[in-house]
Amino acid sequence: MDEQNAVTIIMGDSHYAAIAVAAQQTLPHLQEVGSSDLYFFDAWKYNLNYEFVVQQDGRWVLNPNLICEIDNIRKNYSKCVIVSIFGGGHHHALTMLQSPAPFDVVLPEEPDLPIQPDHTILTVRAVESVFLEPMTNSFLQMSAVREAFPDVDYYQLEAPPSVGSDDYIAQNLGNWFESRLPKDHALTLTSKSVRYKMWRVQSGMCRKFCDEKGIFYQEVPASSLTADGFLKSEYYGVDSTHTSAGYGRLVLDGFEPSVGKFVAWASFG
Amino acid sequence: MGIIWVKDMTSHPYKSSPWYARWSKAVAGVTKSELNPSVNFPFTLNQSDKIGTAGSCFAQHIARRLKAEGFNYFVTEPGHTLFSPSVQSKFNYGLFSARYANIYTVEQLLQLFERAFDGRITLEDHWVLEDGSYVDPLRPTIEPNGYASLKELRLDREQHLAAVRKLFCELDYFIFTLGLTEAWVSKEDGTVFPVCPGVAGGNFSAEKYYLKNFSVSEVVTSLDAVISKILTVNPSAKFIFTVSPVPLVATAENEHVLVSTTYSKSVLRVSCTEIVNKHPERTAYFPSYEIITGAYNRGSYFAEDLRNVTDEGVDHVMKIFMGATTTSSLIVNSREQEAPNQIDLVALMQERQRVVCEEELLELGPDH
Repeated sequence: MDEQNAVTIIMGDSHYAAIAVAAQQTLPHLQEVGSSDLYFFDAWKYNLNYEFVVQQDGRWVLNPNLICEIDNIRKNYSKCVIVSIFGGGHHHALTMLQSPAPFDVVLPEEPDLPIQPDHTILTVRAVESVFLEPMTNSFLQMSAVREAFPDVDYYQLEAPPSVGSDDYIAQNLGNWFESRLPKDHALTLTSKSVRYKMWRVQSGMCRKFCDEKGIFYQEVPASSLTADGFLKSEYYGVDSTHTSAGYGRLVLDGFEPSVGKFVAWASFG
Repeated sequence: MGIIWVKDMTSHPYKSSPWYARWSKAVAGVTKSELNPSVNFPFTLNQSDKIGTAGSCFAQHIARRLKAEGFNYFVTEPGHTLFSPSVQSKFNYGLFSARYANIYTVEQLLQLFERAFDGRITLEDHWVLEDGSYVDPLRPTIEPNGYASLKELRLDREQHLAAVRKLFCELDYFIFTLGLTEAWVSKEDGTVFPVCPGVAGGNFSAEKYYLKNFSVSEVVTSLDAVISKILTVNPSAKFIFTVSPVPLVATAENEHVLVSTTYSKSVLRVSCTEIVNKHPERTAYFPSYEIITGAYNRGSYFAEDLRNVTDEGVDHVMKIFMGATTTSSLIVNSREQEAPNQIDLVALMQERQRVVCEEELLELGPDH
């Protein structure tokens, strides 16, 4: 075992694809034990439906198979960093398409942002309650990782910023939204400013949860943001809610000061 | 000494009084579940009538049953469609017709109207909680854990008052449950608070607030004003008043709480009759108070704490209410009831357990 090396293990839902592709495009792939310092959990093998948490003795715990695989990796290194990006798209799913009753919120940290005219004001705590249900599973997963690996530096990545371009969203809606749009229904998006706010509400909830659990909350790369807080167009992904490999590379760059420059990637699972 | 000859010794008004006017027939000899003190109720509610409700905690039972019975329980602040039923419930949407929380005193109701229609401003715009969140002093528990920002509080309040305006302008019937006569009032501007400052936000100061225990004349005057004001924006509105049978959690008077309770309920009960006598075409009284507190049930409609009303009591009230006011299939004095299906029963029981009552916050604290 190389006493100087750290290993970074990344897992999560669809949003970690950008980071995995970035690694594929910019790093050599070395599967030999101990030769790579960046490991991705192969979620595609399970159609992005892997049971990260399972019931054991009446409690939800991290999948023992996953624990075993991670232990097998990290025993070869002096330091282990776990990075997850569980969830992330909930605010899109719930709020990207315009509601028949348009709404807006007042962000407590940015109360002076304009309010859309003729929009119903929802309180932030009520929106948080709406988001909490779909986010519960992600919180469960994060808790389970934290509990299974209490001694490692564990980071949850902030969900990527929203796309600011209505045109881009309309042209690249993605299967999930297209399947839910009523036939012959004109696409109407929630206004850009409200999309931003919904992202901030979700991020705030995640940050608070991480703080409570002793998980580091890694914000989105500052260089990926426009001046008004949206994803820069050069980092747009294949659809309205995901990011490109370029964004993924920014995320990896953000970790290198802590763990050292990544030399190679591998996968597990 | 002159002799007064009585032409017909056997003729007097009591000879021809109806059965319900006699205690022996209408109370003492009646099975508990079949007692019905509501007679000659003047209004019949149709399922298309927009029925608004407000009042103290007990009023929430009426609101729920109206909704359950398929009546047009008029809610102008229902909560966004994004909210699941549990989120709506958590954030107090639908408890009453608008999100005003419990309105315990008539003066509070008058104040609400004036804030919605007459531009009445209260000097105490907000209270700040220890964690930095904000509370509306006139709806201190409406937003669980407080508002996240002052701007949010103010915008929500504007929306709420717009919903209040819509409610009073469009309702057909307004059912108001009178709860208390004691209230804390601002010395600066006369604002009537639903909960004593310091209990659910704010800080109490005897220099800023005083206890007001409203009298019959004051309650009647305020009720009269409420009716007049609502009729100016809605000339066809009708009013049903009822008195909450729930005793005071605590009295701020230097009296035994039972004595204070009796005073409050008596004032409210008398006020109802006086206002109905004054506006017979527009108002009616419904005897919830009598159904729950009447000696005929020997206190069985109160729970162990002798304060909360049992489900059996609520059922009795609502059975009489429905029978008196609607063309519902619930028939007064019927011994046969359809058993609700299992799913409805579970939902009904869960709903019954959740009555939001700020007055109960008075019980919390190191002295209790």
